[in-house]
Amino acid sequence: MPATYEPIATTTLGSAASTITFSTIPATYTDLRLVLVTKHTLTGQSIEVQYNNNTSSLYSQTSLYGYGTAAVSDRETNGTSFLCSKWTGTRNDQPILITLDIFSYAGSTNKTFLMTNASDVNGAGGSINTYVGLFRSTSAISSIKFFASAGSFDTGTTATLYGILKA
Amino acid sequence: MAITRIKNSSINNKTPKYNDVLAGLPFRPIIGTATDGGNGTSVSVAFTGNNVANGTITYTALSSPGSFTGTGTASPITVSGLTSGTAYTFQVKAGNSLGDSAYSAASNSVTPVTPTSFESIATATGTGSSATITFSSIPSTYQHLQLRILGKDTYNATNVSALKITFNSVGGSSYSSHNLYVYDGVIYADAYTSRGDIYIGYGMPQSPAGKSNTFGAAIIDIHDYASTTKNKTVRAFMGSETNAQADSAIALSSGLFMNTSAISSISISIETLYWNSSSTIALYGIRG
Repeated sequence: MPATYEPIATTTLGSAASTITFSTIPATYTDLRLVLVTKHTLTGQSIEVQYNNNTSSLYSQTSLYGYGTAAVSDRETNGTSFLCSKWTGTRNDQPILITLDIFSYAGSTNKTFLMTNASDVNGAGGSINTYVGLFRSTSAISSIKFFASAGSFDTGTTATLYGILKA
Repeated sequence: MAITRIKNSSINNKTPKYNDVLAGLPFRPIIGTATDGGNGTSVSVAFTGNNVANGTITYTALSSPGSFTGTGTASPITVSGLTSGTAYTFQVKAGNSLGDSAYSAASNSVTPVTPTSFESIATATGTGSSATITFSSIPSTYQHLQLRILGKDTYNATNVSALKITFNSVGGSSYSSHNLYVYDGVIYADAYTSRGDIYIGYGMPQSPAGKSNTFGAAIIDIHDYASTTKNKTVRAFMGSETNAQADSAIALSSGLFMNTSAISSISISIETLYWNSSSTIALYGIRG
């Protein structure tokens, strides 16, 4: 029987890469948590997430974020991926911390997830972003892919996937 | 040495009969319950010493397998040196300067388990007819608590509900909270003081037709919950996303329980009607 909170897999990039993927995720936990610490060569681009390599228009999200001068909210509906970064400017100077919690990922309902994305650069360009997302699929999530439409994740990027089990 | 026939109707849980014993030897103990010692390598063995023998009585507990022992003069006895994940049973004997009794019957089987930093304490499920879910008898052995919720309100509307939290059945004006949230496309910030509960929101969807497969999620952290010198701080992150603005919301909340008692029970209420019967709330303990 797996422990209550344990790492399933971890990856550290030895060279820059455009995608980070966790696949063959066992269905033996209740929730998943993914922690990603990265710098990247993107400029004003978004990091995106897809589950099960599903590119159908099944993703939606509500976000609340701040750039330092205002609080902003927006929404995406019927997207082909989940957009998990909203900052402006380059992000290859300071690390970004992304946490992703997926609830009942192997259950038979649509998949709800919470994400935070934090980056600070001791000046303009830092941001704090929070998201709630929905993947309108009742299939178990067996893979998670982070990717960017342009640019890549820097060498040294780390990502760890944890499984959380309830009583 | 004179041998004295002694009548004892309670030895070894047998039906009353005469037992020949040498005067002065201790009687065989009656085994009780063996319980995990909580550190992965020890078990606490309870027993009843049924002795009128002479002198100081020393009890020895013996494990099977492994033959690990622990000694003491009263119940319970701790047996250490065990292996986490291995099932053991235990027997106890009594001894004095004249010799030892026979070993007791074997105890229940117990498996010591090494505690981890993040442990599941309990999980509760909505009933569809109650607004409140309560966790009680929460052990004080952790540093922090975390609640992880996947749920929804049974109220039939395209809307979202807040959550209300109380501790130890305390009401009155013992709570306050601040919320930053987006609801129906608008950003709000509010604060509540001297309330009868921690009011956090919004993040749990209600139940309009056609959305039975969609639930809201929440992570609620309660820091230093077992402290008897600090008030208790709560942090919540919750959200509902339905692919429609009207019942999509995301909220960040802080809360305060102005009470220095250790938290031993938590009640979580959904605001509008009842917890949906597929809602689950899992309580975890986090060690410091």
